[in-house]
Amino acid sequence: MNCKKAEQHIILYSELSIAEKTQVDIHLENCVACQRMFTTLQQRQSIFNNIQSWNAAIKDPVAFTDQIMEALPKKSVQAEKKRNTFSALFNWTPLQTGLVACSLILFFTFGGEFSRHAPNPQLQPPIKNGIVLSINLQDLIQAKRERAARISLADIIRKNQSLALSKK
Amino acid sequence: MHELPETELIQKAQQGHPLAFRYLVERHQKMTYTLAYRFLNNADDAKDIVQEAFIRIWKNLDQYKPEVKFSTWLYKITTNLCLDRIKSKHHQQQKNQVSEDFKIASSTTPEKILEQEELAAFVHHAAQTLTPKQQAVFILSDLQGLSMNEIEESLGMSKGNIKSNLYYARLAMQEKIKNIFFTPSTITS
Repeated sequence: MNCKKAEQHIILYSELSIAEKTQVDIHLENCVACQRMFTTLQQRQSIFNNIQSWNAAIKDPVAFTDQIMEALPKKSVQAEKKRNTFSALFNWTPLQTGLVACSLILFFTFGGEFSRHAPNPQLQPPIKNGIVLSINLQDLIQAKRERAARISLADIIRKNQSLALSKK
Repeated sequence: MHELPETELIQKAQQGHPLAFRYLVERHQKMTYTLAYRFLNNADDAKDIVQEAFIRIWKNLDQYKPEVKFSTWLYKITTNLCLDRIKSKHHQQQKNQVSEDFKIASSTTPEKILEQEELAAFVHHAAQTLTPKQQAVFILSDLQGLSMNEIEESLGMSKGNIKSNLYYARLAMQEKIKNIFFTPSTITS
């Protein structure tokens, strides 16, 4: 290491790596001029380090804190809670978003297939040559009533039969 | 609540509790004010900056990343606000005034400025003659005692860039210190 390089390193001595510091130390052992410069620069540097502990005094710290707090834009705790809950609900990771999207697609595509009830032919829309015809609401209500009437008639017949059997 | 760890205070402040935020302000206002004062060397300007910094923190609390120290985040915001203030035309006019003050300070005897208060004032005046980047690096490193990593996070500069600015800042500052503390009269006395 030459003296010019050593001077650059001396100014940034505290920021050097251990290896770099060792190189500088070796040079200083053999160079009186650089050694003298190192001592002088370290003395001056210590002046800056001495004022690290100095703190600028705030005349009235409590009043200053009050002043800062009063200058803050208002946001209520309740509003913040709501905002946090809302953001927590929709603050999804890409994986979560993907899963939800896939679930929705599956639901809308195959949802009908998973219906537990067998389809009522009377409630199905009329199909002609594979084309779904429009449903008349009045027809649908009438069909429902007829079905209910048929069920009640069957109940009466069943009851009469059981009565006749009991008389016998 | 005053004794709560900082992370819990931040969480409560994020939920909108002003008292938790007040405790954060109380803990950090002195450090923030000192940092701003070192940059601007003016009490009113420093107070303005501190207030603005805490308002920014309050507004952006939901963006706070727990992996970064709260003080580092505060340093970053305060330093940026100070640099903006320095760059503004208004402060440029004050800077001219500062250079006048510096001449006055230079004429004082070493005995008079040995007091830490006066020494700090002298160094702060002298630092204002550096470029904004050099000033920021010098203040954070040599006057605030931040590590290289903390300066990197606060200023968003590379280590190489920081070292380069610090090198020129120290050269200039040592030259100014030399004129005050290491004049031939002080050596002979």
